[in-house]
Amino acid sequence: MNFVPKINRRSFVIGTAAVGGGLALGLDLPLGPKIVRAADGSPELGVWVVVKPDDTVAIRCVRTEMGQGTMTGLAQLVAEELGCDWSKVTIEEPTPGESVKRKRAWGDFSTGGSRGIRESHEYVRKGGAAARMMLLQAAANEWKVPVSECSAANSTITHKASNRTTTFGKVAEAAAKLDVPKEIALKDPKDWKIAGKPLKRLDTPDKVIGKTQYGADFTLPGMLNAAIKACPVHGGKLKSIDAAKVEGMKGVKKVVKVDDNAVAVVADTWWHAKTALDALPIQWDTGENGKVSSASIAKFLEEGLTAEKAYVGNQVGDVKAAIAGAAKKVEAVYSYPYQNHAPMEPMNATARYTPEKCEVWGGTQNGEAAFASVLAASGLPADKCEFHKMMLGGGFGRRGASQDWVRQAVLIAKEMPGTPVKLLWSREEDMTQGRYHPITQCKLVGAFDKDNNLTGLHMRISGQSILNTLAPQRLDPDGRDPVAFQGLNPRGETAFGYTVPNLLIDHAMRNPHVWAGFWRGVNVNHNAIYVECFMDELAHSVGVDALEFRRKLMTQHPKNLAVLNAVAEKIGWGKPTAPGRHLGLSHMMAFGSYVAGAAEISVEGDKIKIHRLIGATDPGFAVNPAQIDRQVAGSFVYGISALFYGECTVKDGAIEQTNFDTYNSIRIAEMPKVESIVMPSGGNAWGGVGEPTILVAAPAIMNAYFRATGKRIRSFPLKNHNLQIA
Amino acid sequence: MIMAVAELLKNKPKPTDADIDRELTNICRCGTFQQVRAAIHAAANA
Repeated sequence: MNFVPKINRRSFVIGTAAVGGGLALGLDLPLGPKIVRAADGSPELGVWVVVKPDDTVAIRCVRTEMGQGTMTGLAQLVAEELGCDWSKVTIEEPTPGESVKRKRAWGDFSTGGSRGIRESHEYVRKGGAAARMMLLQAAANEWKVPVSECSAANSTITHKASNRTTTFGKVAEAAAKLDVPKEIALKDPKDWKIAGKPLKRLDTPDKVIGKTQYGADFTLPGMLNAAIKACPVHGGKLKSIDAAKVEGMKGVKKVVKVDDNAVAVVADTWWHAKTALDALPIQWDTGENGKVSSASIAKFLEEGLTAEKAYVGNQVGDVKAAIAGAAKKVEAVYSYPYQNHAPMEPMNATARYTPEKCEVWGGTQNGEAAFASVLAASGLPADKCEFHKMMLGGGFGRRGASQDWVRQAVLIAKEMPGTPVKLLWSREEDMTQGRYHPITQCKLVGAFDKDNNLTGLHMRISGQSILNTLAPQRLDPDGRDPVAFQGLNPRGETAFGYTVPNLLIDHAMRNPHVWAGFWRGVNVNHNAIYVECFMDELAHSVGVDALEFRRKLMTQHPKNLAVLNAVAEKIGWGKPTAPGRHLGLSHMMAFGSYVAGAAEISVEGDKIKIHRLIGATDPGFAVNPAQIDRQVAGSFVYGISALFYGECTVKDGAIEQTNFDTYNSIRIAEMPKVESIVMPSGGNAWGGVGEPTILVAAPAIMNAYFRATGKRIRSFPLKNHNLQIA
Repeated sequence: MIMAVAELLKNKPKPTDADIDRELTNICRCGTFQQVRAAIHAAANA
């Protein structure tokens, strides 16, 4: 692009559009004897709904909105049960500090694992329904009629028999005096009028006019800025610094050691801080990890492919016997590299510490985890801490389980009591201090009998456990990482979609020192490539159509089959393709949703053109189908970027890629046409939508690539095979 | 991205898809490209 910005991005956006009305955030609850009131004095009807005299409804949301649309979806569910006018809905985000004060009245803040809606739909719907029941009761009391004769819709309560109406705002004060009902019946999703509809996002207008404040935008009067450098080799320590060398540099206020592995420079501007940090002589103690390379990690994992001991994830029959007695055996070894989340906005947080109060502002996927970090780092009790959530310039899992940058910000601010300090990571810091998509290899062996029936499948994963880095307390008592088996489990929300008479899926845990983390899609990114590419290899080896081969193994998995059939039909599987076009399929279950993909590609030399990419998803219930469409398309951008470009390599113990020049991401010209099929099948289970479809892109494209070229690629990214996206 | 689009529309009030592909090289990790493309055409035709 030739355009060089001459003005500040924020002032540009704000200056080019009218700034809309304000939205009161946060809660200050001067508790009366009975009625709980929001900051502006409006009464609460249960914890999820506040109705204002002008009929405006404030719906509470504690899951983090980060562009994925969960806030709008959750509000739709509350509004549906409440029966309010959707145009009058606003959002309030209670802080983690308020949540703690009110005994976690709003439940879990954690926003990862595609759980925003699927794990809170029931209690937020009940919250909306409870508020409606209170409003109806208040109106019935005023009119002295049975509540059963009153109905609510569009923020209006009607008593048909007497032809009377009132509005939510008029009876809210009386309703707030009533007890919150405990017996609550929810609507049948078939009758939804607000939920289930492709409504526009509530957070878009503020973003379009530049009003939304991201963590990196935040400022406070008198605020200083900090730049930080942690030991490039994870697990390494800060040995020594020569602070005197930079303390006299322009703007520098202080050089601060942070924990035992990092150093920060605090200055008047971030650039001064960063310039001094770059000039600061630092010695690291990298220990043994300083000798680790990508090659040594690969060797470490390779050993696990044939190791005797491994944690079992899924076992049926006797796979060893099936393989030993096979008429035909097919084997393949795959691998998948480290990936960085690389959100557009690097990690940052602004902290202000005094012995009486520690407050932090920033983006997080988990307000409660960020709050816990503030407590731990400040050493202050919960009633003296607060975390204020700001908009995130991308999460993708990086801003979830680990709140490492929040801790750093507090530790730095603690060195300068009373002075607010904004810690902003450089892109280089963000690229090298991530919590990376784990690295794995996989050996697959398929066994056929003489009639070409698949009698056995052994899938041995060797590689890193995410929980081992982030939450070792969540490992099974024997050390097994249950998350490693996403998409491969015998049952549950990430169940394996095939029935094979003799099956063994096991994990030889091999943990390099590089920090692992939850990266959008998590372990299904590689598990889906391993299973779905190998399924095509198996089908090819016996000369059976890839779809027919799968169908035979999927008779007991009707929901997997339904999404697979849907994409196959839409892409025209089995029908003649245009000259030079080739198709590929994939499917899996992840985060409670059944997903399938189909790709249509052509290959010219080293260029792969993706003409069509179809994603089908059955999340059980579709709260906002338009938002699901966008999540499908967005997940493909992340998945395709990883497939073609994404790889973090290790040299001398450190991650080598420090910016987007070496860790690339696809651009608008490379974006394939995405068609999504949203096909909720109902039932009792609600699936997620933020992550699942990411898994189908890579195997569908790679299976199409094999059909186009006869070449099977088993290591990634494709740039290492000199393949480019056209 | 928004600023790049503003510049594109200033120089080329009715950009084609090929214009968009050529001129917009901004990274978007959330993957809003389809929506961005649709929005550019909508703005151009407004």
